[in-house]
Amino acid sequence: MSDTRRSLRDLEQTNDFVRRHIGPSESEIQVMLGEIGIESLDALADKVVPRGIRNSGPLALDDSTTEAAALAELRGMADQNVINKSWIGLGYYGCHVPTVILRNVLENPGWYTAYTPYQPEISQGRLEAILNFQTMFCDLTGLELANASMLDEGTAAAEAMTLCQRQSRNKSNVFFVSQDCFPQTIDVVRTRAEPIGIRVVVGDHRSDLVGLDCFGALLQYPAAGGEVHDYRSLVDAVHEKDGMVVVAADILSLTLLASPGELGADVAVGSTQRFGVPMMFGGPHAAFFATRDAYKRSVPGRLVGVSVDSRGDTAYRLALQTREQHIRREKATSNICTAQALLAIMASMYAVYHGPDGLKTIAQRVHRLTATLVEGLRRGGIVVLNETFFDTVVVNSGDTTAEIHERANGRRMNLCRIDSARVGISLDETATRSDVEDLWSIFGVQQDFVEIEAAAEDAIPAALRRTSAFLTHAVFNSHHSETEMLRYLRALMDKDLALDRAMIPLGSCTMKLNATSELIPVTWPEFADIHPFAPREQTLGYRQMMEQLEAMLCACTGYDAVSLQPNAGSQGEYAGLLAINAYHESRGDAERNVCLIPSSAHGTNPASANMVGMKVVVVNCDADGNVDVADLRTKAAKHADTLAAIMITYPSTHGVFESAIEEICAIVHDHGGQVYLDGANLNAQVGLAAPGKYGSDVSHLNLHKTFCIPHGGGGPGVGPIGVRKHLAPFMPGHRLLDEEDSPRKGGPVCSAPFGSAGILPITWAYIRLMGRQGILDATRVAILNANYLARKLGAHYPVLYTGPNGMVAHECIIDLRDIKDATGITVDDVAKRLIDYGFHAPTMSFPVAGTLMIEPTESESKQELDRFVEAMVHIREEIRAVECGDVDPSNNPLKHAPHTAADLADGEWNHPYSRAQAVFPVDKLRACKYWVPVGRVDNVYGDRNLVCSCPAIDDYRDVA
Amino acid sequence: MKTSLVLTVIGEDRPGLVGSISSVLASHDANWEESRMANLGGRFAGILLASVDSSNVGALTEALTDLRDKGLSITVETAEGGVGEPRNELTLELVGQDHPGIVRDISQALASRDVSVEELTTEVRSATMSGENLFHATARLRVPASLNTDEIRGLLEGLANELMVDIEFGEQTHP
Repeated sequence: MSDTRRSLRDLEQTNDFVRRHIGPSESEIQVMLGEIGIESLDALADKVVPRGIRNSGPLALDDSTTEAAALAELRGMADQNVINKSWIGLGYYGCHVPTVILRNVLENPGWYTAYTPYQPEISQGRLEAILNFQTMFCDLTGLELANASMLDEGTAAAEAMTLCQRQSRNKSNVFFVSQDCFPQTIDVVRTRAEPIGIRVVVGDHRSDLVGLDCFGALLQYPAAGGEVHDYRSLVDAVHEKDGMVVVAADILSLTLLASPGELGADVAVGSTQRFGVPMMFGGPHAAFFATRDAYKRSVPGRLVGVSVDSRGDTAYRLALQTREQHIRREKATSNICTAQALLAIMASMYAVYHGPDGLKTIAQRVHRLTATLVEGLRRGGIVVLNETFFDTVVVNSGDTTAEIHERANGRRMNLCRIDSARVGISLDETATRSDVEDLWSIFGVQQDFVEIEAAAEDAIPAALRRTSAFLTHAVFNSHHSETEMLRYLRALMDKDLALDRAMIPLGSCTMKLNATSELIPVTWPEFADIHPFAPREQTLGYRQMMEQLEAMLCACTGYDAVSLQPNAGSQGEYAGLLAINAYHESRGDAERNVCLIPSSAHGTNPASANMVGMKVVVVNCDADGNVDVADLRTKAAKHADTLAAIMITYPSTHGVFESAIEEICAIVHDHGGQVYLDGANLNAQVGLAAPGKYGSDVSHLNLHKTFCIPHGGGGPGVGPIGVRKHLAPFMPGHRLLDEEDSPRKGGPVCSAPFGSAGILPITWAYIRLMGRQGILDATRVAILNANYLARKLGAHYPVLYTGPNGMVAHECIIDLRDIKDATGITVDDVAKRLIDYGFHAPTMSFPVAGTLMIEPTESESKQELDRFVEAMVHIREEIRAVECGDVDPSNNPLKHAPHTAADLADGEWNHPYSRAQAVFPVDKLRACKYWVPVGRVDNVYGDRNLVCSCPAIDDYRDVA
Repeated sequence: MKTSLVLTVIGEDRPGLVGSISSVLASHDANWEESRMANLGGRFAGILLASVDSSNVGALTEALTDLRDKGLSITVETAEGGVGEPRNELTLELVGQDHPGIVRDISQALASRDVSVEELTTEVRSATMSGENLFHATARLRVPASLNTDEIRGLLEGLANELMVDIEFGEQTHP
């Protein structure tokens, strides 16, 4: 024991979390600095980040704190939220999250720390879960093809609109939207339509749609007020005019109702929240998108498909990747990248858990209780306006409206505030008979429940009762005991490689630690069980947390204001560009519509620009991957009268701090444009440089990269935007925020006012825990880790693109093109071989085809970095054997990677390398080995033989 | 009178392939007008335009077909193009899963609707993120005026689920 008395401050360990978040220890940091020949982290930052853009002082953040203290602060805020039973509806419903799913999926890092399943071999578990999701929505909607999820119902409806515009044979510019759609959906569709010249006509579908010349129509089923309309004749009328029909449907009701496909709809969309995902004050939730096979090339987002692996066995993969790789990105009509994989998986597991009969039972219970409620109200003299309903009704409350809301609040219930004379009631899975009695009493009605229930009749029109089967596949009919469910979840999770097993060194994806303490508050009922349209006084804790978070994000980025609404990075880009458009318009500069985009940009940038009606002009890059400033100057001058913006990623997509960034910003400003700085690479600069201070006007911040929200295996993402003062009024607004002190003028970009509010506590906790110095240290170590890897790997592979000092930023690119020319070994081969070593591959072929981009983040320890280097060096030797002619160029451990247990068990082994070399190329793997469940997946086969729902039961017969 | 022929070629890549085609052409007094060829997925594939005396078409076709013995599969189409019929110039961009014979499939589909390929550049690139080998093609086409872009897109997209086809009027291939 030391003689010196340590300070209490020291013993309180308020810095403890910082060292747990940052991988390398202090002594390891010194060793690593030695390797790259730099004396300190300060000197490293000086060398890597251009002096002109460096922050002048520390961030305006608090000191770091302990996990216990941060959780206590969050608890204090959570307690200010009021959990009422929300019978508000409008697309958000109370539900019971099956606890086996809550604990083993939502709260399990094996699921939530995975990446988007681009590498199918290490993603079979979640690919199967998402395939289940797609199968479920093919069944429920009666359509042929469902995608892997959308961000929410509003954006799904907007995407459906643009699909109709592309595919419809009616070439008018009118899209009809029924006034009985959810109001927030109508708003999101309007926001989306305006900049691309679509005229949205909102009206009564019963009187205004027939005979209207429109390319598409959006109808809600059941309608927002609960009415269950038979849309068949309307669908026929729209089709007669060569238009298409989108039906926004409630998924629970679809278990009892004729499917949208049976009504003739071309597209069906809707939220899947009520299938076992908490409301979370608006999100994240998955939406579904289903359509006809004929429109497969136009389906937005991702599709999981069935293929075969190298052994000919069934394997899953992302299908039709060519849609994402489509050449003319600036013609894209959708910029969706991340979807809501984790939430889609939860919803699919809810269906696996309950099965078709269980779901129908829940739906029938909700309907019976609603019918009982209505019968009791009517007998009590209350006017219920619905002729038909499933779970939602509208009551004519007249003069008593305010009083009714007050009485409801007294019983800790929220009703839907339609207007001053009507209230809406939407029951859900959580409703009980005593809730119905409470609701009666709110309306001053006393009834005998048993008697009323016995008299209550179904209110679903006979012609719309579901007769078609759904969820007939075995997976929805075999895991209904908790034991079976638990093991199914475990079996799928075990197939996947997530951060809980190994580093995921994906460049530009920032797969850092998602600390448990950051995640814990997400499922606290005070955050999870809040309806997004709950009255303001019930959400004070949320608002306080978000206000603090906005201030933290402003401090980190140098911006003046933040909007938390965009619920994905792509949504942030879109919201930021809309703000730029609105700003120009407000100054009478409506003709400014040219968006400069460097050729190295991420594909989402031009897609976003196109979505807001901007014209993309590509700016060249020089041989080092930097923006060609002379070309920029020429193009900015040429378009001076119409220049709207530049979209630039910083540090660049090549992982370099371009020294000309200030000059680039100045050139664009001088020619009347605004600077959109893509925040994808913010992890290289938080604390060192602030975009809002060195020339940028607006950025989106990928909270799921830099700020610790997990990737969820392909979503949720969160993409708030930070803006300088002059753009603040044009950030996204929302009809529910119109009463706020300074309402924002921009249209909403997603359904909920605060987007994916439910996971914002993660980022709050991260910044609070790390504090001013910890955040800075994280950035510096992220840069150190990348340069350490660049140095170590540089001895074996060429490293592409470095800054003027020979340093990289927070990621490095290694070039395999010469290796491919010499040996035929491709990036794909190296990526698959890394699986045998227990690693997820780095980013492949971005931003340069034939390269690997590696981003270690600050969270990976030196030990893990060294393990990765060891694997890459071994792989280089395996390549050298091919180079030297010692090994057959087509029969070697790289070409046949990854190797499965089944490969080993084959009687014959037709390879010139040993079984041990195949699966234990380094000895450490004998102690801890990730066994890949399938061999290399055949992409061509999967696309040739496109199947995007669960394989037929026949395929399982042999097993049964 | 001269006849224009469109040849599609596919075979195992090995030295001397081009030579064997050109010598057959030369021995039939045919002229090698224009071609685009590449090694694709370990196979040699190409399309070429040749002109030959109409009286020699039969013999040339036979001789080319006989190259199968040398591991080359060649199909021959007549590119008649309806002399005098008005044609539009279009640019086409296409991305699809790479597989041997993809150029042949595409060129045959185009030839079947009397579309002439003025220029074709193809490349196989590793796809961003997923790393799979994707086939990219950019082509300048001359198309009978009676054929619209939707029909051409439908024709090509009919070849495979994943083919994404983008067609524009005019010569510009990049914005």
